[in-house]
Amino acid sequence: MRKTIVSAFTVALLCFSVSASAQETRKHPIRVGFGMDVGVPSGLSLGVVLHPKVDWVSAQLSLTHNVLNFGGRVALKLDPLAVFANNPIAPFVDVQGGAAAQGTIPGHSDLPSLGYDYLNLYGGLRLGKPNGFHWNFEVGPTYMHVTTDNFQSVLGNKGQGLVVGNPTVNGWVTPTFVTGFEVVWP
Amino acid sequence: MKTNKTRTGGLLIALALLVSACVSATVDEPNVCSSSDLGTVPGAPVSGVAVPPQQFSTSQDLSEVLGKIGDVADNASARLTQLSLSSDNDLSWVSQVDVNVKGDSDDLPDRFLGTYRAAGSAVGNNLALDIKMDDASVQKYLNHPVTLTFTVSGTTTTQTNKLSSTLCAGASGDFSKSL
Repeated sequence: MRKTIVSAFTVALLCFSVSASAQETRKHPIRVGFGMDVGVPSGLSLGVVLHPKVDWVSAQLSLTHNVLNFGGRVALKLDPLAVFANNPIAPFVDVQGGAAAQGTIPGHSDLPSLGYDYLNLYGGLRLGKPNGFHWNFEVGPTYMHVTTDNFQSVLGNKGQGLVVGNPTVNGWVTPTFVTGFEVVWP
Repeated sequence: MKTNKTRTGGLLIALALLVSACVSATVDEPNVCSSSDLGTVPGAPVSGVAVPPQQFSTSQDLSEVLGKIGDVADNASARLTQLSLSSDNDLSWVSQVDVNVKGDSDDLPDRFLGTYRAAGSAVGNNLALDIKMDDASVQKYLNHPVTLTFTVSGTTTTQTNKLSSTLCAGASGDFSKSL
């Protein structure tokens, strides 16, 4: 009997907590924040984070740099456990699409340049509350379309009379990763 | 101690993920082209007179560059993308071009490679030849230095023609590697 009463009271408390958190989540305006991360293949990234009305879905638009050149990245994250606003740890799914402009290794402009488009299909872990500062670890497969330029320079003096086109590479790299933080203003 | 072990374990797992990355991709080289001079057809006093076919030979070697694709890819394949005859003047006087290819070993004998037949319309200074050899045989020959022999038939022209040939090939292959 006591156990039943305690169990019922606990369930009621949980329901109230979820309801209150859900109400808090439903009511908030569009939240904006920023994020910074590092990973492969995106490189170093600095971006704007947008939580449209709810915390369990967010979008990020980022400027990236992969040592060779600048690029851009768009991400859409689904974090269903973010409905519990005080939940400090949760898994999430993140789909990122990006591109890096053609670039050469610094100090070696005579070598071929490299650029790529990519699609990351990540699963991740959020450490920290969804509506404040939190750290993300993400890992998963990446599809890449890599283009080159100035490949003729590989031939050097050996290539007299020979003209070489710029090869491309298309395929999967598994796993790749990104890790970094986001700060969303309440 | 427990915290240090957990951090060390996490770092080791992260490093293991990084060093155990797998790549599965297709590499494509769209064009490797080699051009060479064939010779000169002198101008004639009168144009339009049929002349016996003339032969021009040249050596071409795309094998080293195409071999690099084979070094990287597991099942590299090569294909001819262009075989052409060019001049510094108009080539409308040409009625027919036949090209034979011969490799640098006994198992690559002299074989018919491609042809051009004039269609009666203006052609400019570049003739694209139709490839008549199957892809598998083309690939066998492209993996070695080859000699191309052009047999050019037509009529006389008052202009001097400096002839050159261009041979282009593309290559592609798949590779799967653990990094």
